[in-house]
Amino acid sequence: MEDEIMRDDELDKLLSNATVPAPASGFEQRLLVRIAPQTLGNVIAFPARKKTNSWLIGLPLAASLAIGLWLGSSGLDSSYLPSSTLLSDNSEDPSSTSFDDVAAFLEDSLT
Amino acid sequence: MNSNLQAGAKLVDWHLCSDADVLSAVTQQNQAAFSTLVSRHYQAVYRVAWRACRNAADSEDVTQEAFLKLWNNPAQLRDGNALKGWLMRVASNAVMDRFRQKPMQDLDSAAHVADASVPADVSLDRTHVSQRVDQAIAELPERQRLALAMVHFEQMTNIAAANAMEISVDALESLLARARRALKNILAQDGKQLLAACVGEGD
Repeated sequence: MEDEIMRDDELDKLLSNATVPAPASGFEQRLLVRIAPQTLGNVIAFPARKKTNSWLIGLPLAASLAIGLWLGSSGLDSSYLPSSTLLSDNSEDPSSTSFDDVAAFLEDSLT
Repeated sequence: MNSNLQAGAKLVDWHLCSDADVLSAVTQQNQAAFSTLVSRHYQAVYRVAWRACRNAADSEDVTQEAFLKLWNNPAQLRDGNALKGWLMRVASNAVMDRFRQKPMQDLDSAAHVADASVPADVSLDRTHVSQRVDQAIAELPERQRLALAMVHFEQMTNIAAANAMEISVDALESLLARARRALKNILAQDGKQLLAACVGEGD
């Protein structure tokens, strides 16, 4: 059997000499003080909300919605949007740059 | 019992009640009941935290954290009689979180034990023995320290300590065995002198 460096009872005897730490005085009171504000803090008194005349806000919003619906149904909105034709024309613009233009540009810059 | 406690909470001497009964009053935010639980368990929680944290400030923070968690949500503890183990678990988790965030500062008494080894011709007194043993424990990995603190110093059962550390009993026993082996190795150099000092002072 392997000879032990230290027997178990010897280790226990040494461990019995370890420091027994104790909290600093007043620890319990400090902890109880910490929970006191939390108890009060569970109820947060918000200031009373000011009453406003809701129809003053609601009326313009309702009017805006009505105008939007009317514009949408009468087709007047199309004049404010870019046409799909214009968009397709742009895609076929011969002057627009592409990957081939980059190669040409590089050739020009080298010569 | 619980209904009696709730009915006459102000008349109850909480120190005579079990943890479970006191805890049921804590769920009603009864500060007197909570104070009883604090005075009953804070020293044990602090000692375990101190073994793991190795300094007073962090140990106090960890202990406060455990009790504040209990105060804020006592209902999460289902079995009131397992309160001590629950507090130890919360404290252990808090310690491990702190280890992840920052390395712990050294022992409060580190200045006194900076030179851990002791010359052969120096006679030791009990204070030196304590410091040397504390230093040896401090050299253990944190989980081994926690296991040793709960089982050896707080006399918790292996099952309770394993529950507190959220590991199996086998894993806890393995931690304890490794801790003891490591301590023997660490203390081997001065072991005879340290033991002689213990005997010399009346053991």
